[in-house]
Amino acid sequence: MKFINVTKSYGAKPALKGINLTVESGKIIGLLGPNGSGKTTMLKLANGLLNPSSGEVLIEGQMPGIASKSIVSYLPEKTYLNDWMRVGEVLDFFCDFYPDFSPEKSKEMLKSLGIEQTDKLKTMSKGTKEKLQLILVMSRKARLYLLDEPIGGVDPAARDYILNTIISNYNEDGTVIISTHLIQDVERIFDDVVFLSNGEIIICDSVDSVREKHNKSVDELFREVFKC
Amino acid sequence: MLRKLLKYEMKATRRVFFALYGAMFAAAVLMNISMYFPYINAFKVTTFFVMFALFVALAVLTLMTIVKRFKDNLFSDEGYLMFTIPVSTEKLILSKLISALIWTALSCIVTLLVIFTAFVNKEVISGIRDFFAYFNEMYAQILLYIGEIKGEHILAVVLFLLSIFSQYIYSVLLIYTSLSIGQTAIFSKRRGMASFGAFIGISIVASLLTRSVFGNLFGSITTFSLADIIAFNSIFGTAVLVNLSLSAILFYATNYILKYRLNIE
Repeated sequence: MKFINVTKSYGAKPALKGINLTVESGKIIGLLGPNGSGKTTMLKLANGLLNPSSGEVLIEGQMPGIASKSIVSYLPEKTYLNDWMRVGEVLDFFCDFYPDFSPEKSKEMLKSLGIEQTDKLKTMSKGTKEKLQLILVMSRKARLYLLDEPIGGVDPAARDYILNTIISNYNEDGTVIISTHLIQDVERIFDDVVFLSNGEIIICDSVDSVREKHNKSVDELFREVFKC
Repeated sequence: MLRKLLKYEMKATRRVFFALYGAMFAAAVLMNISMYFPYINAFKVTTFFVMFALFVALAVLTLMTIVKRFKDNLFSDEGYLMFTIPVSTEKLILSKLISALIWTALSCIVTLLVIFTAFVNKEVISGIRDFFAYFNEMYAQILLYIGEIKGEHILAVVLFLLSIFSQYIYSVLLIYTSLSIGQTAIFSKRRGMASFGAFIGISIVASLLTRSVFGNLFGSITTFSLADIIAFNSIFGTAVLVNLSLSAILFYATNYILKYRLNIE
């Protein structure tokens, strides 16, 4: 994934100011920043849900489109599933539209999180829906996973399971980008981190080098950089 | 992919349509039974009003489905899924349009059947039988009026039906385009207003365009009789062409917005 001089503004309000970023494959990257720093905007641009005001976003050398959508697995912060479906029908939907979706894998994960295929989405709690969405997204054999606040709404016990799911399920040459502000819980799985502040990248480095240079954990550095 | 999209589109809408169709048939049966009890006036009046309300509900439901399936499925949270499946925006629009046409056609058929169910009795059946018995006679009368059935007459019927069909497609696409323009508004509170404004604006421009096309082509024709088959065909043929051209413009305008100006919250 590549961002070349990307800006995005909503009306007069700039959300991203000249982002340049190249993400190599095979890594887990933390996209970190306070609320409103532009994390979600970046992920929406990479998915073609928004178009940049200027600059270019490239996924494997191509602008976001049908080709990129079939290799990108995106978890938005919204619950995007229909209310009228049952879990089994949602699995069918993913099977129908994503050739890289593995129903076996998702059934296995559903089982371990205690979600039945006959459960109706209407009666599910918000947290359960978020778990289900993450299961769907991680059951694809995608080249790039873009996860927007994947653990924001779930309980701490399920967080560990979800993080392990992410680590064990993405394929070796796939890339995972996780946007979050709950750094402490996720820090251990990152290879690289990108700090985003007011629409600009202020730090882009590997976790090891961050720890070495600043003699701090990523969480501590984050608290220092974004101190209010 | 279009077939799969259509499958989910029909799945999402069918429950409420089928429920309403069921209610309509039930009301029609009751209304039919009420005819056999002319002395219970309240029964007759109630079933009549229920029937009437259900017809209004069907019209409202059809319109609401056209608006809501586009607006909610594409521009609300569900849009995050619909725009990240590897499907072209053309197919997304087409799947919504085709399902709207299917429900409208089905609703028309159901309406006819419901009316038949509500009023059918011995006299009606014998009336229908008479109609078919006299059909040959009527046919002869028509022949007397127009001379003989020629290609133009068949074309006239086809063009007449096509003009209604194309007008309907245009109307649905007008709604889609207006909703798409509305969602480009930066402030989400203004989206409804922006959609409404776009709807009025496009309608005015389209009617001015249509009027100028017809004015230029048929300015000299002030009245025409149904018997003047060539005038009839050229006017309805033009109407079909105008409707289809406007529809094509709206389709590509909607597609452009979904592709390059998407702005879901």
